[in-house]
Amino acid sequence: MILLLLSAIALLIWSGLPDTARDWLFLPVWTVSSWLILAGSLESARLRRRVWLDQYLQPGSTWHRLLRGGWPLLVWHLLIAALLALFMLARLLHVSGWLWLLLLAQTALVWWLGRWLGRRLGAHVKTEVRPALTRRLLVPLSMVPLLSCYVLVALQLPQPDMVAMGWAEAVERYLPGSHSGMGLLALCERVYLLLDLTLQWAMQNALGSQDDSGALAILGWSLLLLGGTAFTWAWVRMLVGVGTLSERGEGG
Amino acid sequence: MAAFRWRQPGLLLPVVLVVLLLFFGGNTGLRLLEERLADNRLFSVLLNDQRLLLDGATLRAFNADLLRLSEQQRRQAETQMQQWIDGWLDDSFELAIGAVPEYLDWYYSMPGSYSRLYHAVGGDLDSFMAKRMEHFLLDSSGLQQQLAEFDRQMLERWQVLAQTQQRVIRQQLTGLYVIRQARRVPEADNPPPLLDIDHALGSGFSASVEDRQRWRTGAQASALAGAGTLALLVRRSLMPRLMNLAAVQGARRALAAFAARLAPRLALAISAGGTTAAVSAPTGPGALVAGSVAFLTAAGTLVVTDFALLKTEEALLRERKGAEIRAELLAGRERLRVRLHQQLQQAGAAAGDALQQALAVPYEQPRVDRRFHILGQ
Repeated sequence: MILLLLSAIALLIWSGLPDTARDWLFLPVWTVSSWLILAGSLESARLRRRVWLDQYLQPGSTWHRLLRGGWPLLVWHLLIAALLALFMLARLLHVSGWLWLLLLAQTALVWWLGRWLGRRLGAHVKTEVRPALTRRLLVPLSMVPLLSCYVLVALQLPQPDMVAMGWAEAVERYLPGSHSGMGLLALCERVYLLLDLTLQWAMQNALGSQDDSGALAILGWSLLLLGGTAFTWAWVRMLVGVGTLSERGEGG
Repeated sequence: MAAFRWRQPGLLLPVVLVVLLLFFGGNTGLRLLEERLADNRLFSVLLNDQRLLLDGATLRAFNADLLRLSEQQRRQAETQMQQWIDGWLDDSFELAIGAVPEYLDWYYSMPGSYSRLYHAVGGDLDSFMAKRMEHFLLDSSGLQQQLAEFDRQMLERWQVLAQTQQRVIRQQLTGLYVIRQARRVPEADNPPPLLDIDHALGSGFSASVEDRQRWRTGAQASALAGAGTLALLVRRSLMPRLMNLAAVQGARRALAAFAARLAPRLALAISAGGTTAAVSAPTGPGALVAGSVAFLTAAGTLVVTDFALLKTEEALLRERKGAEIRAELLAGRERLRVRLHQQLQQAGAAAGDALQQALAVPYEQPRVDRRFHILGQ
C-alpha cells in the first residue's frame, strides 16, 4: 500500500515540479514507470504463454523452451511499456485536481481489491500461480471503476466554446502550449492535447451544428474512450507492477 | 515462477537501454524533421513605419503577442474610460447640487413666493415649478451644457486614449521583434507578402464609421437644440422624480390650499374696500382714494401674514427639502452611472470584436495561410 501510494505521489510531485527540474527528472521517471509497466505485463504474458504451452507440449520438448518467450517477447513488451509510459507521463502533465484525487484513490482501490481477491482465490488457485493470477484479474477489475470515473470527470471539466467552429480554427485558437521543453515529451504532450481538443470539438459539434454530426459523435466518443483506456490502463498496470516487483523482491 | 525469478534485477537493464534508445532516437529524429519542415517562408511586417522581416514561426509568435497586447490595452482603455466617466459624472452633478441652495433661496424669497402664489391662483403651479426647478438645477447651474457636451468630450477622450495605446503596442512589439528578424535575404523575384499591422491597429482602435457618425449627429443636435441625448434623458427621468419629492409636494399642497383660501378672501377684501368707500363717499375722486387705501391695506396685511408664514415654512422645511433634492440628484447620478457603464461595456465588447476583425485583415491574403505545427515552433 505504502509503495503504491509512494509511486503515485512521486509522479504527482514530478508533474508539479518547475520546468527545468521536471525535464531533468524525465528520463529516470520514464525509465522507472516503464519498468513497472513492463514487470506486470511481462508476468501476465508469460503466465498465459506457459499455460498454453503446458496444455499442448510435452515438458521435455525443445519447442517448449523456444516458444516460452525470450527476448522478442521482452522487446515487444518493452516497446509497448515505454510508449505507454510516455503517453501516461505526457497526460499526467495536464491532469487537473479532481483527476489527481481519482488517481490517488485508485491506489487504495488496487490495494484493497488485491487483498480481497487474494483471500477469495486462496481456497481455489494453486499456490505458485496465485499472486500472478490475482494481479491478472486485478487489472480489468480495477480499471472499470477508474475508467468510468475518468470519463465522468473528463465530461465534467470546463471546455473552451467551440460550437459551430471549424476544426482548424479551433486548433488555431484554443490549442494550449506544451509544458515541457524536451522534444519527445513535448511532442507527446502536443499529440495528447490535440487529441483532447479534437474530441472536445467533436463532442461539442456533434449536437447538430455540423452536417456530419453522427460521425463526429462517434469520433468524439471513441477518442474519449480510447484515450481514457490507454491512460487508465497504463496507470493501473503501473500500480500492479509495483506489486509484482515488490513481491518478487521479497521472494528473491 | 521460480524459473524466471533471476531475471528480475536484470529487467531494469533492458528497460534503461530501450528508454535511452527511444529518447535519443526520438529526439534526433524530431530535430531532423523539424529542420526539414521548418516554416521557412518569409513575411515582411509593416510596424511603427518600419519593415520587419520575420519567418513563419516568428510571425506566429508575433501574432500571438499582437493579439495579447491589443486585448490587454483595450481592457485598460475600458477601465480608464470608466474612471473618466465616473469623474465626469461626479463633476457634472456637483454643479446641480451646488445650485440647490440658490434654488431654495429663490423659492423662499419674496418674488419667488409671490410668483408661486400667482401661479397657484392661476392653477398652473406644477408646470411653473417644474420650469423654475429646471432653470435653476439644469440650465443656470451648467449641468445642461455639460450633459450636452458629453458625446463630444467622450469622443475626444477616447481618441486620445486610442492613440496612446496604439503607440504603446507598436513600440512594445517593435522592441520585441526587431532583434528577432530573419537573417536571410528574400529573393528578388519573389518578394515576401506584406502585412500592414500599422493600418490594422489604426482601424481596429479608432471608432468605427457608424460610431463617429452617430456621435457627430448627437453633438450637432445638442449644439442646435441645446439638448444632447443625455440632457434629454436627465430632463425626462430626473425632473419628474424631483417634482414628486415629498417635501416639494407638501409645500405645493400647502400653497395650493392657501391660495384656495386666499382667493375668496382677496376678492372679499377688495370688494369690501370698494363697498365701504362707495357708501362713505359716493362721488368724486375721494371714492377712488378710499377704495385704493382699503385695497392696499388688505394687500399689505396679506403681504405681512404671508411673509411670516413663508419664513416659518422655510425654518421648518428648508433643510429637509434641500436634503431631499440633493439625495434625489445623487440617486439620479447613480442611475445614470449604471446606465453609462452598461453602455460602455456593450461598446467595449463591440470594440473588442472590431479589433479582432481588424487584426485578422492583414492575414487574409492568399500567401499568408496559418499553419499548425505538431512538431513545435
